Amino acid sequence: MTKILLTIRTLNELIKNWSKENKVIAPLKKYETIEHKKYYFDEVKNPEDIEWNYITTIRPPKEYVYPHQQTLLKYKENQIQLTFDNSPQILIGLHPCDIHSINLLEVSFKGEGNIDRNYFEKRNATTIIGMDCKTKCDKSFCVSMGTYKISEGYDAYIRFIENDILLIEIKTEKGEKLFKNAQSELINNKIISKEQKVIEERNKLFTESEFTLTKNEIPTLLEKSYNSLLWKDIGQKCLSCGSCNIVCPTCFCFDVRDENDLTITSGERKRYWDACQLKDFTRVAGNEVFRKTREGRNRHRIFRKFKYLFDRYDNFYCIGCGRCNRACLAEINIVNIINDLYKEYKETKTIKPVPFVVKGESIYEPKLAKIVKMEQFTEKEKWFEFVFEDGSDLGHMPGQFVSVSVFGVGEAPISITSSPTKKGSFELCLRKIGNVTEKLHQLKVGDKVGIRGPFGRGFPYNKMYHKDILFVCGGLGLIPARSLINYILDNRNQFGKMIILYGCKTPEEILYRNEIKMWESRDDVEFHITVDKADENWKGNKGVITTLFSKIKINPLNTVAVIVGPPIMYKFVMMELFAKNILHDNIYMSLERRMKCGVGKCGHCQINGVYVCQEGPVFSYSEIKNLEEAI
Amino acid sequence: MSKVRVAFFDFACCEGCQLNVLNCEDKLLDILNNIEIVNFREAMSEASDNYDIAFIEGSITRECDIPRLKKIRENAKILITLGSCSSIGGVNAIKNNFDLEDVRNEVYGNQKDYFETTLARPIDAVVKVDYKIYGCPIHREEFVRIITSLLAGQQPYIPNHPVCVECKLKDNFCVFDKGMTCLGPLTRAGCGARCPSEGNYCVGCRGMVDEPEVNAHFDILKKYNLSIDDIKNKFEIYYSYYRKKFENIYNAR
Repeated sequence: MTKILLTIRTLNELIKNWSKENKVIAPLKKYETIEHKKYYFDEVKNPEDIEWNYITTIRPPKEYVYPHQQTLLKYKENQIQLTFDNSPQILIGLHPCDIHSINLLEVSFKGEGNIDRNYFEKRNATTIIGMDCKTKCDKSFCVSMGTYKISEGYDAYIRFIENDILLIEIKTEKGEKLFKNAQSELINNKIISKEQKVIEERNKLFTESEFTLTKNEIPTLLEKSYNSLLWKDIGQKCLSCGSCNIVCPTCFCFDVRDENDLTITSGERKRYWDACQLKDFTRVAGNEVFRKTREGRNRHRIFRKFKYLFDRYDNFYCIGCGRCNRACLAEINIVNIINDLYKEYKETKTIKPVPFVVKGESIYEPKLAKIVKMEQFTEKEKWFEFVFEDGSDLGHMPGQFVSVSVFGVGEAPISITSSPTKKGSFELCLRKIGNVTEKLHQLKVGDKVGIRGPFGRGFPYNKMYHKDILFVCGGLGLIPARSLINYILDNRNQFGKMIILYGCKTPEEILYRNEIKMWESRDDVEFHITVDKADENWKGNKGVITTLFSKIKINPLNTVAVIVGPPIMYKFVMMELFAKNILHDNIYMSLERRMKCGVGKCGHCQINGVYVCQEGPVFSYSEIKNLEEAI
Repeated sequence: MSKVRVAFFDFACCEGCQLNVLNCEDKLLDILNNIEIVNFREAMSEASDNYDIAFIEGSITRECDIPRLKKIRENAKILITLGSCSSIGGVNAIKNNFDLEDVRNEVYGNQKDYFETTLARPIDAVVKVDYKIYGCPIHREEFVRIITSLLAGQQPYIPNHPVCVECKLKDNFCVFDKGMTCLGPLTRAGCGARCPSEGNYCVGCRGMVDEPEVNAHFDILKKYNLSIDDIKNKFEIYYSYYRKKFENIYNAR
């Protein structure tokens, strides 16, 4: 590696000489209107036109190593003539990111052994002279991608020491050939230290990472984000115009078409840049399209750049130049996509447990409560009202649960059905289904049970203020949901619209009949009920709970959904909620699991890494969507 | 091998597309090596009903055009539309936005009873069309390319992506960033982004791509604070025939 020192005038003379045998391409400037100047790469007619201070171009210099239209071969009937373009050319003034992109094209055109000669003939006939950026471009992310500097891929590299004096680093034989007749000025220590200073000044422009994570974390992030709802949002904005692909320095997909000349029997087989954001990109002869949605195509672009090709070639196929971000009318922006995915991922990962701290001697110590009222709701469900012996309140949130002990039989987790607004006592409603509940059903008013709790996280009603609330309750799910319903009814003006969907197997299983009548009669509650099966006496809706969704209208951005029901219900209800575009953060569900201790010790209730008794039983969908065992 | 027999016909149009065919001067003789033109009112006086390929310019605006068009369809093995009027209804369909009686009055005045008029339609609203050559007027190179494809027995390549692709290839500054509304993101490419490259906006002369993202386009207008009426008016120039198809989206905005 040698360095030479030239004045701009000498360089311009050299360029003039090079133009005799080479096509010389450099950044030029054009005014489209008085305010709108643009920079673009084109053949240089006069070296003085070169824009050494250019910011960035709309399209990268890719065109000159991999043209948007390139002949692969010529044919005349069945005679084939391979065609290569190896006319010498010099690309001047490429910024480091663009040189990185050409290095990447080389990796992919070399592939895994299938060498693309059409690319390499042209590439090998090309000499590249790089230079530093003078400013950082808008919407670029070269700091995170580490592409604002470069150490290989160029033949010579220009650094402006002063306005018209430049130090040129000659890297390769090709570079040497260009500059062999150039008379270098004397390079003294002053120049060397000045170069150091110029590099430092440049580095100062590129200090702030654009991504909130390092680029090496991106492939793993994407792996976990394939099903993120974000893709849908992006898809809805996308125009499918292909601009992002066309301006991308690393996109290299192409289409191949035969172009006949007017003899009809001869012509050229050409390749044309193609764009994966266009719907026809995956269309086959039978008219089938394999990547139909804008959502899927946008995801593919990001995955290809940051994961698929990374897995294949060990390189990110993005140089952070930001051209796609600037070209996108819909403002789809890679930096935002990656950061939003990461934010979503972090939120999913970190569930803040609400540690339950038992007052008293031991976390296993129940507190005695007395039954003051009971009501048989259905054949199997019974409702109880309890008061603590010391008259204290339970102090719970809607959605929390308690462990109920019948000494000698055991302990069972039961969700609380009364609202925290009810003071002095609390209510449970339980189905006769196991050892403990069987025994509880036999108790009488005045009998005592042990209560531990409340446990776990309930419905965060403080996040629901002024929002519309949609309840979706299946079967026994109404029991915990009623706690929140009553809380909202007691603080009605702090919440928006309230819609309750309730589904049961048969009319006989309907709970809280009196309260339902009251809800139905209120103007500020929209209540719909359906049963799976019923005889002719039933005059209401028939069918599973998802059939009720056609009856309701919601504002997706301002609606919180609360889902409680049997495990089978969740998947189908979620599909309805997705169809209505409710935000993942605004979907809350209560999950049932086997629970013994209620305090994150016994291990029974664990869903992947999460303790349902401690971090749940209420979760937002964005908290559990990546937990395979959850729903 | 006998030459392919080709005929040109026109309905309501300016004949500019046929003129553009004749303007392929440097290629015309080569083309004529492969085809025989048997019917071309604009260029010759002989006329024959024996042809393989029929090119049609113009849209259908009178009931009396229909039997003639059906006859052409019967005679032709391949029927190809030339230009916007025949492919998408084009400017003729602007009249569909008005009361037809008013239109007749305005154009023909007290002679109106001598002239019939009906809703303007593209050719494929009446008979089956095999290929469409879009544009107002058609692009000469595209015409030559399509005709050579057909002669070689190849499916002609007709783009189904927005003008943006070609506009970016031209290194153009985005029209929206220059403060104008542009139909490019919805309009079928193939023109080489001619208008935006000359400092204008895309007027949508090729009609929309098969599945235009109309909603996303309206969002762009909002972002740039541009008038939605402006875009509706722009669409009406070439795309009035399809107005109904987009009315719901228009009205929702």
